[in-house]
Amino acid sequence: MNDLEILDLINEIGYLLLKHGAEIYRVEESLKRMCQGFGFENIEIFAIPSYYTISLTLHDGTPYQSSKRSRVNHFHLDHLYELNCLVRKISNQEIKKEDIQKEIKKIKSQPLNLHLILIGYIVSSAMFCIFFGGGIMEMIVSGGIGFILYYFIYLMERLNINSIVRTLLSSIVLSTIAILCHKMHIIANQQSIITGTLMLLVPGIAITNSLRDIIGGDYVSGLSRMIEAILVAVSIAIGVGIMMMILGGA
Amino acid sequence: MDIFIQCFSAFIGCFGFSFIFRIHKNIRFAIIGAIVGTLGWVIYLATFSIHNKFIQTFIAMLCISLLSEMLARICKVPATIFIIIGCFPLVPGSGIYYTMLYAVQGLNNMFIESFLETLGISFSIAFAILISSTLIQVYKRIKTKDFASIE
Repeated sequence: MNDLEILDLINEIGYLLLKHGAEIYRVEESLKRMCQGFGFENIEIFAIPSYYTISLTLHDGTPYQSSKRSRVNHFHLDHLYELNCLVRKISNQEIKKEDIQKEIKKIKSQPLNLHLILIGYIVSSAMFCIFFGGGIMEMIVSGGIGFILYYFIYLMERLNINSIVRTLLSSIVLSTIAILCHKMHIIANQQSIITGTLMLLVPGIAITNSLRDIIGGDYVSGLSRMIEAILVAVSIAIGVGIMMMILGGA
Repeated sequence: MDIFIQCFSAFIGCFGFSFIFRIHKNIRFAIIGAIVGTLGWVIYLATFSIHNKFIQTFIAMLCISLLSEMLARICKVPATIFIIIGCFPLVPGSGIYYTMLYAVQGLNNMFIESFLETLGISFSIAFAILISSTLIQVYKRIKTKDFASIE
């Protein structure tokens, strides 16, 4: 296996790390460690949430430069864990070069289990409804909202609608259902349902990751994620507010 | 009893979130993350005597992220996995709701009060993550004796 083939594999791993929501310092550090593991020199890496570039000197002295762009990033913690293990193995040189390709293929070929994600939407919205003080009836309705939201968000992701409009529309849908159910006297406690299902949209992760980026010294990526988090939070609030104003819920 | 129901629902809720963030194979991480989140909520409730939501959230989030970092060292996984799942019970979802409710009803004093409270809770979460990550970084540097040089 020559240098360029190895670098292709390293680039693939870096791209997958970025795509599956790793922090920026993790992407940079992993790439650097892997390159060091193979003995390249003059390694310089720069990453932001949707892009990274890598430049180094090959063993025969030729300069090498490549970059990858990942527009749509999705959290996939399973893959993040497996990639992390793989990176550790590569940088400690515990893995044969031929096996790296197999491992990457294995990670990429895992099919996404959409049913489990649907279950996650239903269970977490129902349970957080109870967490915020709902009863049995509230739990059932908010589980139903979670079910609807899953398909709604799935549809909008297929249509490639940006995350701010997506959040705005989702929060409009969930508050409409909750307020209408309250008006029809199906449920008594409207607050628990709206707050419980809002948890599906709240950008807690974006805030967490952006701060971890800022601590790592990556102010550019930290700020861009922070702005995303703030815009998403504002769009949730606007969506709920609009529907409360129109339907007069309280 | 109420507290028990809350903690139980926080546990299952966090577990559900781990499915959304695609932990489908390594279920043990989902369980650990959910336990961390529940513990965070227990700590939030246990520090009730402080009567200050910001300090309560700060302490709980500090415990969550320090615990996550420790567990991450033990299980050899990125600490973000546990923090992402564990932070959910503390996220001010109800704050957003009440802020908008008061805004729509035209109760301006209440609106500003709950708006500032939501903002403050978010800041306490952020500040706790900031402190804990820095602590871990310092600990790592001292342990490996890898001090940065001053130029």
